[in-house]
Amino acid sequence: MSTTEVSSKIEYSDSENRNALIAVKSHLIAGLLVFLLMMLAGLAMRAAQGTWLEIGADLFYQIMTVHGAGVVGAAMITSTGVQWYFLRQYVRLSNGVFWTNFFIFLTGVVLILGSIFVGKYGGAWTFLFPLPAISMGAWSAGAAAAFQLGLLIIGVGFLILYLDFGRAILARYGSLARALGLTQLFGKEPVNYKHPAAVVASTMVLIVNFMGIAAGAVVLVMGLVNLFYPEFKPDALLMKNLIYFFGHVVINATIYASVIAVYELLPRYTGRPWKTNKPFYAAWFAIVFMVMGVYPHHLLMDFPMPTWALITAQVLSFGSGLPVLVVTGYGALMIVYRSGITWSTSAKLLFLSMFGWAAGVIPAILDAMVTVNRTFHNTLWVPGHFHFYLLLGLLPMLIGFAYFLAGEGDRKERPKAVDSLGFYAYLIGAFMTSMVFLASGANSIPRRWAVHLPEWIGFAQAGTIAASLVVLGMLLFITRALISLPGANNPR
Amino acid sequence: MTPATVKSGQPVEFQVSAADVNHGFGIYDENLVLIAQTQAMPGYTNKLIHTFDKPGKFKILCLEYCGLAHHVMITELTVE
Amino acid sequence: MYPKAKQAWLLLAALVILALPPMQRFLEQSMVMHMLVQIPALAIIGWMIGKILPENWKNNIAPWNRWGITGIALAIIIMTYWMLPRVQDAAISEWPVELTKFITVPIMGMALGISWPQLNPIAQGVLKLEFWATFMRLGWLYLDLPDRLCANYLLSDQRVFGQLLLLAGSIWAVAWTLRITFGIKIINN
Repeated sequence: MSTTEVSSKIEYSDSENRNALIAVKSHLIAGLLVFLLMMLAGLAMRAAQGTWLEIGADLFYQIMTVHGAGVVGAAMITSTGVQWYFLRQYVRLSNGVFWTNFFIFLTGVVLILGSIFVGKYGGAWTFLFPLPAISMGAWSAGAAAAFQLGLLIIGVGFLILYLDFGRAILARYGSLARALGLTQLFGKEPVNYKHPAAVVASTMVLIVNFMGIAAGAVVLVMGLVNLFYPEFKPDALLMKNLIYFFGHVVINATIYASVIAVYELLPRYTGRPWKTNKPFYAAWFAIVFMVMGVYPHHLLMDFPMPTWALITAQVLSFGSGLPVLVVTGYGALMIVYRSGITWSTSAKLLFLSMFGWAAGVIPAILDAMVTVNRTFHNTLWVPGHFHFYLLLGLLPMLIGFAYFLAGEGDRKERPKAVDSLGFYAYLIGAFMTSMVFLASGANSIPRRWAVHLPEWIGFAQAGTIAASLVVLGMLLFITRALISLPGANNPR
Repeated sequence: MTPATVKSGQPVEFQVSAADVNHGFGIYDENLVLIAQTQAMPGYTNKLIHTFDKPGKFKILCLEYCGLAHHVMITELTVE
Repeated sequence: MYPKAKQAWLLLAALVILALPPMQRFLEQSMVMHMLVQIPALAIIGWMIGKILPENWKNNIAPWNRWGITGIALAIIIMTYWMLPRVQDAAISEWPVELTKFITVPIMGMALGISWPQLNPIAQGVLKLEFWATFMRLGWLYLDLPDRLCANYLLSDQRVFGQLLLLAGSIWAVAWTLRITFGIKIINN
């Protein structure tokens, strides 16, 4: 089916492959279930803002905290499942390390859930210093510590996994530069069209997440020190920089890990290979710096920030996402065009993800302009932008992969009615959810408000209806995944 | 916030800081349209300069999540 | 055998010189010298002693130190203990604590030296990042804390020490990044 080189694929024993498949399925099922729960949490928050559901402010903010942390966690663990599934075909990865990260992740999740629902921690997933320490009695220092410790533990788990990626990539390619395709880009080696896109993308993800986790390791511990030793008051702006660097990099990297599914699966559905080339390498090289350099666009309303950092962030924001998006979007169009592709649910979702990613960039770029940011920052415009990205860009990649893994491609069957219903409910719901958020932001409605002013309630109610459609679609997807995934064989 | 009244047609400098945690300082006009904002951060004073075109009752809303009372942080500003 | 024996004597001599009272006073007069010269010197001596230990000693240790885990755990415990400010203070004012330092820190170096190469590369990576983060965290703490941590040292001394830790951490980060990105070749050249 795929014309990519057979010889360069890594050979594993049958038992290793069986175990690896179980591991990937566990990541996927756990991650998608968390997504579903977090969508229900989101629905509850929108309904509360729309006065259709009564929730106390304390519970609302706890739900908001779990929603943020949960979605970031689910995005990380699910996209890592996708990434690992493909990367292990090109470099020798360890099943043990993959499982280790999974169980460390679950431990961190237990700590975070405990901190929120037992310890009443409601300081948002961004744990913006010094809020975790100053809750006015709403939660204890212990609860805030458990939350940050949970994040720290999850970071260590991923660090272990990325070290295994790094080890395996170095063993095969000698340097990360070569794995990224830089030697080909700069003419030190002839261009090899068969250099796997999965390796290029994984190398980028590994580099930026390593940096993100390093920043997280410092800032989380400094926050912990402050919780138990309040005389130590780190600079609030420095803490904010590190927190946003960490958060921005980690959530951004998930889409770059998941896009591997597009590179690997579209060729299967179209029968044409995905060829890597110089523009492709250049785009992925640029994105390494862009993902790390744009985070100050979260800080445009912090006037003491150095001007050069804000200008850099603004300039990078215009271009951020574009390089990889352009090469991927263009590549996807070319590979699909007149290929006689069978529009399975998986292919539809992967193609949708290209649209979601492309269109999701627009509100992001707008908000990164200082003049716009002045009236859009911390309004619902911001959730509008990332719900667009995540619901229409990231999740379609992940769900599309789940359909592939469930064996849809092997059976060559047409999508069932229930799949189509799920697809369109999800598509319309996700689009509406994002647009209602964006419209709310354009109407100055602030984000993270448990109770909305009477003027804003109509928006929240529209958002509630949209969110219920998303939940319906996701529910159908998940049911399908839970039924067909566990018993499915490894797709050919 | 002192004073609670400023004049329209001339630049007003808001010196925004925070005593406890991070807050946001968003100025909303009478139609609840956000017209200017800055962050309020412990240890820093952000200077926001804004010229009000017309008089009226403006609202200041908190625009950075600051805890369970975040949505209750609303105050008024009169522009003459 | 001869060079090994000679090395052993040299290391022992170095240890004795470090332990001489004037040398002690000189190296412990400032926090920077104490933390960044004396203690690392003691650890390095331990590391080198570990290298020249007789083979049969090493073989006897080996079953207790599978994959280097015991040794690394021991080293981390000793390291953490000597990072406590009040212990540093005690080492200066009470000789039994000072003696403990002169014994345990070389042991730490020895344990690290013997166990590190046996440690799983992934564990090595996690520890390296953790050591690096500790440099940054402590550097930041020492710069920002309003009070002195050690009764024996000035606040200004603490600030300088903090800056040096941050500097060392930054250099380390840059070196590490270059090495990982451009590959092992550059290092070997």
